[in-house]
Amino acid sequence: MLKVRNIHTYYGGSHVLHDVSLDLEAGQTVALLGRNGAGKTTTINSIIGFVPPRAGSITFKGATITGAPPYTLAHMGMGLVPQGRRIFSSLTVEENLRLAQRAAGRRNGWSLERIYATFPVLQERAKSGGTQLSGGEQQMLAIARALATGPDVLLLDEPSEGLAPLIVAEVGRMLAALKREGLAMLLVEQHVALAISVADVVYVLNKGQIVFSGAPAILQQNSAMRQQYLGV
Amino acid sequence: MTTEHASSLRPAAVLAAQRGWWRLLPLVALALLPLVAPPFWRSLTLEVLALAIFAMSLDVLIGYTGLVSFGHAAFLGFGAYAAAFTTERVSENLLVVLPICLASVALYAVVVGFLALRTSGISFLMLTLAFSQMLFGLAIRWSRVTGGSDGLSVARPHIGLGAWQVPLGPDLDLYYLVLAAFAASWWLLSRLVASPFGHTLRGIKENAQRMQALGYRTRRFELAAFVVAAVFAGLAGMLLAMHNRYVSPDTFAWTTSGQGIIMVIVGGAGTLVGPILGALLVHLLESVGSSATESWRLIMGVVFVLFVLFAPKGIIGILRRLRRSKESPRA
Repeated sequence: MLKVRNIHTYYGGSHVLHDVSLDLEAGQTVALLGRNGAGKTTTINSIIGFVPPRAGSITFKGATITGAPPYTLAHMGMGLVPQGRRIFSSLTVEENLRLAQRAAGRRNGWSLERIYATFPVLQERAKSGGTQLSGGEQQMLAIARALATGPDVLLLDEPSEGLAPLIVAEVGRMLAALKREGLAMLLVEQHVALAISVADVVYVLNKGQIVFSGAPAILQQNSAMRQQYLGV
Repeated sequence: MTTEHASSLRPAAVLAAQRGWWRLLPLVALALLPLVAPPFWRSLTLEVLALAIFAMSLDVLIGYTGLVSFGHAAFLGFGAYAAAFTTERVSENLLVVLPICLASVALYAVVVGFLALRTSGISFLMLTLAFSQMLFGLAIRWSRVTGGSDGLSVARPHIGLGAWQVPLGPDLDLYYLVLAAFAASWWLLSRLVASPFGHTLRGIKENAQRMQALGYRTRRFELAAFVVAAVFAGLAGMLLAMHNRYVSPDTFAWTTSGQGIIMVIVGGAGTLVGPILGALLVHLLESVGSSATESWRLIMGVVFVLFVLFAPKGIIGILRRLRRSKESPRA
């Protein structure tokens, strides 16, 4: 469904991603692990079109999307849960969701009923402003907002970042539920245990290069590699 | 506070009606003002109302879309010159002049917006400034058409619909025309910023990239906001030209754009009501201050600096803070 082939991405003069390739099949959950600064967010930014790669290619549902603008990808069915759960803080929870639904246009996004059934806390907070939400609530809203656009693939950039362990577990249950619904996900994480618990395939990035790809069980057994690249 | 407690016990519908009624009070006061106030104050109020339309329109860009235009005077001036050309060459009927003015401003804004919105931040600011300076230069140099630095005179229009003709002769009629335009602008822009379109603009202000990731072609929405803001600024320009019966290249001056920004910031960006108060304060400072002292610009500069340093959310921000500190001890 999503194929990244040998991409090289730069921020100005600095070469961040070196020859990164990865695959995501329909219904699959792929985790992208690595330390801070390894290039995880850059990989997401390259795919969604924030920072187009200078070399290599990306295809989505068979179409080449290298360098395509983000709104084109959104219309094709790619959803993003950005890092730091950046919701629109000047809008209420419901306004955030409706904003996302309108963006979906003709494609069918999740209805408010379906979102509230999945995330009951958002229904309780429907009229609350974005700034009044707790970190966990903001993360739920960021995920729900992406679902409201009706994506076939969800890119999640560190959904566990800065959350208390109990909330991280809740995010994990949410991801598992989405996986059961058949949603394909690319999960960027530093929280190795969370990623391994939901992923079908794991990639490890180090200094902008893929240094491991395979089943999560293999990574779990290889403590030397975990220590070297992930520090756990 | 006791009145607030009492009213909070009443049904929501009554409360809403009451609130709506309160909002109309300033308009009623403004409608009665020329009947009691001397001509100088009537004229001053008219100017404040027209400038308030200008400031509100700029707030749509600065406060709601996050586009800091330093060339908004271009549209004020464009509307003023369009009024001069139209009353001179086409018709003095307001029902003809108004649509021609607004449509020509919109057309010009599409061109400027299309080019300027290819950039953002400082580049956008400089490009909008450049476009307004271009018109300033054109108004001075192309004197055969624009009257050069002498400017052009503008006829007082009338309202004509077939046999039904209403002249807008005395100042009082024009005052009510401006008041009606102000009230309509306020209502329309309030509806606009509270609409789904307005929410889209706020999203763009917070983070345009993230809006694109949701599927929004953000530049189209920015262009739409830019054109809407320009049309309202053009309306203000047309009204001011009719009031002054005269238009000069100074309307395009960058200082006019700068004053617009000061009105928005001092009043409170992203509130619509704030810029109205900002227009009041700035224009009072200018017209009363300039007759009292040569250094009124200095005073305005100091006021602006004080606001930026101590009340970055403007007059509205101060009012909200006062209300909160009044309520909090009881809450």
